[in-house]
Amino acid sequence: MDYELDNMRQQMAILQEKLDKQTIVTDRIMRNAIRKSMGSISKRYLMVIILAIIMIPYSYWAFVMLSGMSMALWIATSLLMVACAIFTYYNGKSLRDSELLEANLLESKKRVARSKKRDNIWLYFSLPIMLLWTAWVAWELAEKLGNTRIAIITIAIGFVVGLLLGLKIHLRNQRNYREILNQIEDLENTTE
Amino acid sequence: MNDLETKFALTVKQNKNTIYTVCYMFSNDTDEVNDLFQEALINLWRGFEKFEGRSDIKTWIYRVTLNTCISLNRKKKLNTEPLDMNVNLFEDNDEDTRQVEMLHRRISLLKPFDRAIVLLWLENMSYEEIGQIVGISTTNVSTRLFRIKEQLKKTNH
Repeated sequence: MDYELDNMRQQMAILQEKLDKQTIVTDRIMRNAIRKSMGSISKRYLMVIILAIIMIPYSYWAFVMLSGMSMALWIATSLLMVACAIFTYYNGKSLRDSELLEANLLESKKRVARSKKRDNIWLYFSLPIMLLWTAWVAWELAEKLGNTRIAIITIAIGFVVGLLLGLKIHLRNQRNYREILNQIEDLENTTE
Repeated sequence: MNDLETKFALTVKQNKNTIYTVCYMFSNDTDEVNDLFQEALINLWRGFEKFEGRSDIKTWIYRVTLNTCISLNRKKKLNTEPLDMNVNLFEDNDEDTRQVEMLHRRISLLKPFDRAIVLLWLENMSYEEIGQIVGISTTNVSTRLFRIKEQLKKTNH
């Protein structure tokens, strides 16, 4: 009955014996790990937060100073960026936490899944807001240019490109999220 | 190296086989093993200072390494620098390596969580310890292992 697993235990013993004879951990590998950990924590989240913060003065320059758009639009844009930064920080925090890696596998996956779910909710909130924001930018740009058609086309192209990129990233995240959920479900469904 | 780094280096050297075995079982070639191994070390270092000895060090190492391997296995996003490790279990041709490859093939057929369970079982861990690491009950571990055995039997015939 247990032949396969007993056989695997013997093979495992061979593997351990082989590894005992090998130099796996060198000082170089160790130094590399210690050095890398300092700079690699949550780069992606940090990048989004930095970009959102940079967008606040940039949008003031681009919208108010360069294009002569309203202060209200800049304030709305800044609020959106602040919301984006706060959400990214909050959602990334649960993944950034070093305790995540020390949690049991199921709990760890559940936390990742919760994070992905929040990502999904964020999309449903941000999409209509972004649509309104785009319409606002198009309206103000049309007023400044005195040409509604050019303003709408310019903004529409930007919006579609942004939307497609955003959706691509979102769908990939959601696919991963489903995979994790399936794995959890699979584990939880094991008959007690 | 400061005291913490020296302590960490010693812990890793004492548990190198455990870390390497898990990485090997979640990889398809030597480069991938190296990448996973490096990523696992980074994550272990990240949590080392905060590790308060609430659980056994080996259990903690297993958790962090398995979490690293399962996450990276899922994302398939490895971008660490290539490292020349003095071990290659994919290309040697002696009888022992063939046996190890056979073990690798059998384990690779399993889903990531089952792979983790069987690896812990092969390390002679109790059902209770396996349950704590994976996050399921002891009964669940037993049922799961029974199913894994059945699956392994089917794939071998």
